[in-house]
Amino acid sequence: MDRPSSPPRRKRTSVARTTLLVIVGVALAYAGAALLGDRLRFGGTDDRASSAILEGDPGYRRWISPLWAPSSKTAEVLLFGLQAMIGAGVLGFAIARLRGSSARDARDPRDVDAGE
Amino acid sequence: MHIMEGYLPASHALAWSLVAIPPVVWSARAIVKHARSSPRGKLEIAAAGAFTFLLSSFKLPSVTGSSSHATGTGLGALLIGPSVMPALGAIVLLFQALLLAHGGLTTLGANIVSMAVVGPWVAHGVFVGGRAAGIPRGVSVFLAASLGDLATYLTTSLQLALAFPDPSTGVPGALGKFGAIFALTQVPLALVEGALTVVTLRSLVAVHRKTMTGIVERGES
Repeated sequence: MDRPSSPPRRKRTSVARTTLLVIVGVALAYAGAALLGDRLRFGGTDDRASSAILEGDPGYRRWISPLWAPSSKTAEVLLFGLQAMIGAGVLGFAIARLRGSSARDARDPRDVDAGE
Repeated sequence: MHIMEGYLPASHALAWSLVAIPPVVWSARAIVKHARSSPRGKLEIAAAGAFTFLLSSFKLPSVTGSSSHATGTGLGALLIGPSVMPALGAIVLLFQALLLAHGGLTTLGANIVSMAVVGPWVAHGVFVGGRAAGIPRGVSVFLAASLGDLATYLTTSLQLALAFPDPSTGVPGALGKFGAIFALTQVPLALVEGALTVVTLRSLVAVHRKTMTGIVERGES
């Protein structure tokens, strides 16, 4: 019997491929931005806001500091990278799965399983 | 855009935290409801959360010699609705506050209000208004995500201005000062965010035009 949807194995490959593509694309963009930012010595907007506060109100004392901060610039970049990777992985997976489910129309996957 | 730990006076930090609680609780319920509404619900929530997780990790260089990052909250606001964003944004902000010392726990409430409440609702409003005015969908999405991003930074500026009014010109003067720091550096990033949102939303909607277009267009009814 003909099925309009693609075979499960092919679909799984395409989920993995789409996820991977999004991750690779993000990794490239991220590395590019990080390299460019480092090379040109960009400071953060947030830091500039902090110094603007102290300029306008020199008496202000920061009353609490972060409980924990990345120990080095490298660790910070890696953690931001980790955040980007998690986001890219989940996003790629969701896009790929949503693509897959479009082939099955709007039916509940359990209906499809029951028919197999 | 995050206000750093300790850079809001305690009274302000507390007030913004209280303001942030109802939207976060409400959105947690909206998330559960949407996740259960259809087989794709969970994936859409995942996409919305992942997009803001991803974009807020991007520290892109910006033209004025300062670097900053996007918010990514427009996608979920347009794909599902602004009501699901506060809790998703809170997760992202909590991650950054705890692991990156970026933002902070005492300023979490203020940052949730600017990034996960004001931004998404402005994006939603701009999209609905744009479509009502006959602006093509793609352009409306671009404007919605870009202006939502800028609205977040404007809100941050206002929060800082309220906490640190200029000695001579008061809150409006301080708003101008913080606004200049944030908004100008943020314009190029807002444009990038707008473009990324258009591309991502298109990849999500085009593959599922029948149902997901309905979600995007639901804001118009």
